[in-house]
Amino acid sequence: MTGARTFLKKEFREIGKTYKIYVIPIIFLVLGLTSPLIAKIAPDLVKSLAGSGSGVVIQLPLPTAVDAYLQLFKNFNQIGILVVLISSIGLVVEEKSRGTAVLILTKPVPRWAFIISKYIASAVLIVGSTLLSYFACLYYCGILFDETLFKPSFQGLILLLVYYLLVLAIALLASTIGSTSVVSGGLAIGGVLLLSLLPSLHQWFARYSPGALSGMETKLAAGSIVFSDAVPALIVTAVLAVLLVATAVVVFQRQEL
Amino acid sequence: MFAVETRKLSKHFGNKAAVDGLSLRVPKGSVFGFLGPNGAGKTTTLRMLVGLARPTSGDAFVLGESVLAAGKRYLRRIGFLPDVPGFYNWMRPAEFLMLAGEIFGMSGRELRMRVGEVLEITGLKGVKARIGGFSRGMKQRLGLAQALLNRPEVIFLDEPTSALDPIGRKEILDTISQLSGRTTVFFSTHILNDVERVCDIVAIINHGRLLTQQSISSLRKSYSSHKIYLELEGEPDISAKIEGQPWIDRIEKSDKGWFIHPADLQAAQQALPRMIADHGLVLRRFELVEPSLEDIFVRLVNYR
Ligand SMILES: Nc1ncnc2c1ncn2[C@@H]1O[C@H](COP(=O)(O)OP(=O)(O)OP(=O)(O)O)[C@@H](O)[C@H]1O
Ligand SMILES: [Mg+2]
Repeated sequence: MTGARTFLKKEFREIGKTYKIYVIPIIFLVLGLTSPLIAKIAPDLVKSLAGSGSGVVIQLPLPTAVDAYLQLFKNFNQIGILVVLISSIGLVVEEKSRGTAVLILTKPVPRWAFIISKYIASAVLIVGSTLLSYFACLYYCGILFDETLFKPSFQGLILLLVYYLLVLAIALLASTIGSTSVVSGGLAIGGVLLLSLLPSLHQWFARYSPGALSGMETKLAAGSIVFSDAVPALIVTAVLAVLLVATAVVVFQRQEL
Repeated sequence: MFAVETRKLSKHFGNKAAVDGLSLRVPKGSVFGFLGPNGAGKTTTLRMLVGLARPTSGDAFVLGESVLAAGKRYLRRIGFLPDVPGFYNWMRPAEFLMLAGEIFGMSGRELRMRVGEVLEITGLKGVKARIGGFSRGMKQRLGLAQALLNRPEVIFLDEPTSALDPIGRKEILDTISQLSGRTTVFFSTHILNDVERVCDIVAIINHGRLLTQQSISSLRKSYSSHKIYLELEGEPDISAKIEGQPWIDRIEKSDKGWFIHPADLQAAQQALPRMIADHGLVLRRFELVEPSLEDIFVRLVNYR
């Protein structure tokens, strides 16, 4: 177990010593701070773009905190997922191609510990950054809109975090399977695209597949569904994430380095 | 019990046999030279021994434990230097060694002292730069340092001197010599000079198959004969005269003289000086040359 614990510690130190510790939290923080701001000024922006002399009267509803969260979750599901993917594609494949895995795994570090440590450390970084971003948004909403909508938005956030854990598991598996970063990247992006396309294929997927979560996050925040509606898809997502991490372990156990 | 033993060990890639029914026995405490030309299967054999690759068939034992067994408890008791060691670029040498040591369960003062020791041994003491900027030779030194760290009972070295300058090579070979007796050294190389300097036993392989395994002295006795170096004043061409003799195997021109490979050494030693005198030639050098490992290697690899 000493080997496993030491390697986990190394994973955390690696995050702390490389670009990851700055870049990822900062990107997420920016998403959290800009979302309420964009929601606030969007109507004015539309008006000024439409022009004042055209004589068209545009009637836009006043922006609320709901709009801020809609914007936040949209960012999380686009830029956020991209950041999660890019930051985790190299996890295993880089250690294989640089030869560092060889030096570690010919010492008493079990292969399962190698994979699990990477998952844990990356998950902590991603979840931490997302929470930071969310609370920044919440705080800003309080200032700009005089309401935070804590409960529905936090429930939406839980869906998002579980979805991120699945995306991370996909990236980890792709990184384990691939022999180069390009192959791993292709596999991971393909996997995530598939997830997001499934809900439009069949109504069963629209209710229970992981891809359904992104739609549910905003509906939760807007109050049009309740948390229990999202629980089945949430469980499917969590189980899938666990299965993919386990698959990565099995694949890695059999791999020759 | 042997420190390392392989039994009909084979590894196939597709239908190509990289290692083909290899049976080796490495006694404890020996410095074992594992020789073979490029692509002979040295690295593949080492990778199976340290658990990075699975044999297609056969088995291998390190410190009595099969490489096929799950768990691989023997990893605690060995060291391994791959042919091209890879490190985390963001680390500094001492940092990587601390990590390696902690994996072995070392800690505190004991670990710090050991890290200092192996850095000293490998000539990296005082190097504080990040590994990212290291040269190939420095990485090889650090690779040796991490392989020595846990005072292994068996140390596997894959071409440990390939990236080193002559002085570095001598230092590392001296380090390896000093391990002899306490640690079993399994040392793959194609630098024959290195083998002659430090190894007790050599195995020569080609195309994944064992050509021979024995001590260097007995290898010399059984595989190669002496030759005679002959140099004459004025360097005349005497090959035609010598080639017809009954005691000659073949004759080979070198820079200033000739290497004569006799079929019958004693007859050649007697006949040659007489021939030279009879033809009125003047002798500059007449020398009996010991067989070199290189001769044996080239002969074995080419003729078997
Ligand atoms: N992963 C692999 N896939 C396919 N073929 C391989 C693989 N690894 C090694 N080989 C082949 O197996 C043979 C033995 O290779 P190996 O690396 O063991 O040789 P080597 O003795 O270490 O050579 P060198 O002195 O050049 O390091 C070579 O023909 C090589 O092409
Ligand atoms: Mg090799």
